[in-house]
Amino acid sequence: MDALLSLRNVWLSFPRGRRHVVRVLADVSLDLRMGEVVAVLAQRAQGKTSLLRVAAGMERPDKGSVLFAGEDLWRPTGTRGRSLGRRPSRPVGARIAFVRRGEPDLDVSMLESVALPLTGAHGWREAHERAERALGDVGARGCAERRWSELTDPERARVALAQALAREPRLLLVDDLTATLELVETEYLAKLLHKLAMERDLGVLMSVSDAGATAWSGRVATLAGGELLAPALPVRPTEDHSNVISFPGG
Amino acid sequence: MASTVQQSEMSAGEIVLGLLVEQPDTCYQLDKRIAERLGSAQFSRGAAAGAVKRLLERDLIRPAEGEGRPDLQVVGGRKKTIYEATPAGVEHFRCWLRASTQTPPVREELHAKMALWGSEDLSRLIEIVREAEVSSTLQLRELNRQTRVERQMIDASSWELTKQLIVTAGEVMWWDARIKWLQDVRLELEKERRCQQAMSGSGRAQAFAR
Repeated sequence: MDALLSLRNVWLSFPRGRRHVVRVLADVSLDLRMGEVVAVLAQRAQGKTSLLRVAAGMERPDKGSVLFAGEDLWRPTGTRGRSLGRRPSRPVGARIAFVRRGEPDLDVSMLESVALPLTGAHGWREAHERAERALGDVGARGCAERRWSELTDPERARVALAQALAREPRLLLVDDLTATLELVETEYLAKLLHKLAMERDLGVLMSVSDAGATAWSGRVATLAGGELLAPALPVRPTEDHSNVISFPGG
Repeated sequence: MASTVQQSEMSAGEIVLGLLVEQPDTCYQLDKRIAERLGSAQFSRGAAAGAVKRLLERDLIRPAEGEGRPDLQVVGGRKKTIYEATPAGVEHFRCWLRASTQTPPVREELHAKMALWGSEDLSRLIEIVREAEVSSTLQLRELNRQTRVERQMIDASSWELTKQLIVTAGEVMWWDARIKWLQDVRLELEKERRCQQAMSGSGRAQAFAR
């Protein structure tokens, strides 16, 4: 089965000052299939968000390739094969959704907050129908008429997820959604993502800062110092794993 | 698992006693229940039999009695004894359950290696640490797999789920802390190795901040 998302030997660095370079991703490879949830466990400032931004086509890697549904996101499209710039070659916005907790720009009801970004592409009525459905899917129907400032942290996390789901993506990138949440709510969201992935053949790549959020992930990898590490498949607890290899395939 | 963390001075005895207080059972079933409830403590198969023997000696448990020897359960054609807690056993378990818990020492093989490692061949130490990180991730995934089966069957809004999450969280957080420590160790070792290479190598050293 072809991978929905494929990162191949991705390198990404940022300059710091005049002579230093921060290596954020070092030779990172990763395959994500439809219906699969992969969790990447990493501490603060270890590249969680950068990894997801690269996967989303929002950040171009220095080296390596990013393929979404088999298509290279940064394939040159200009004449004579030159890339036209720093934008990905395919308009992937509709099929990839990024979930991030943060205050919305407008002080409107949560229903509006979820619906408004969709009205351009889908019209007012469908946008609102999708918004209602999405809020229902995440168990946040009660938040529809309320504003951001009135919501609790768990409710905000659910609405953030609804915003992404309303776009009916094929790939969901979730950036540390459960960071400040407690056990029961973290479990709820992790299980929900798993259920949605299975029911809708959705691919989910989630970054997490605590292992509790990996409960319902099919695969778990760790990210530190730019290196992505993961056990190879298949595995049984009694086997010797001292010679495991990292992604892909694991 | 490469490390040997001593989780506590607790042996299988208290667990077996508690399980029998919950429900009388055979040694075979006790092994299964221990693995289900406290899988990551990694008691060996047959740990229950040893615990049962010691508990019998202390009169904390006894073979269950009843009419027509229902204490003998037939499993695969062979008769297995069902054990139950005595009143003394029930009392002992209750006291243990409610007593303040001990904080165990951490005896971790990797800590010892790090303390004793010289400054040479850091690459090998980094490799060991990297393997430990991957291995821990694997254990975490296995733990998740085991606990998911139970969670499927529990009603989402109940105290049962919260309790299961709390118990599992204790084990999950242990792996979380270990993975993060291993990551920090790896980064520090890599930094040190780069310093060593920069000092011994010729030419410009481009310092990597991470």
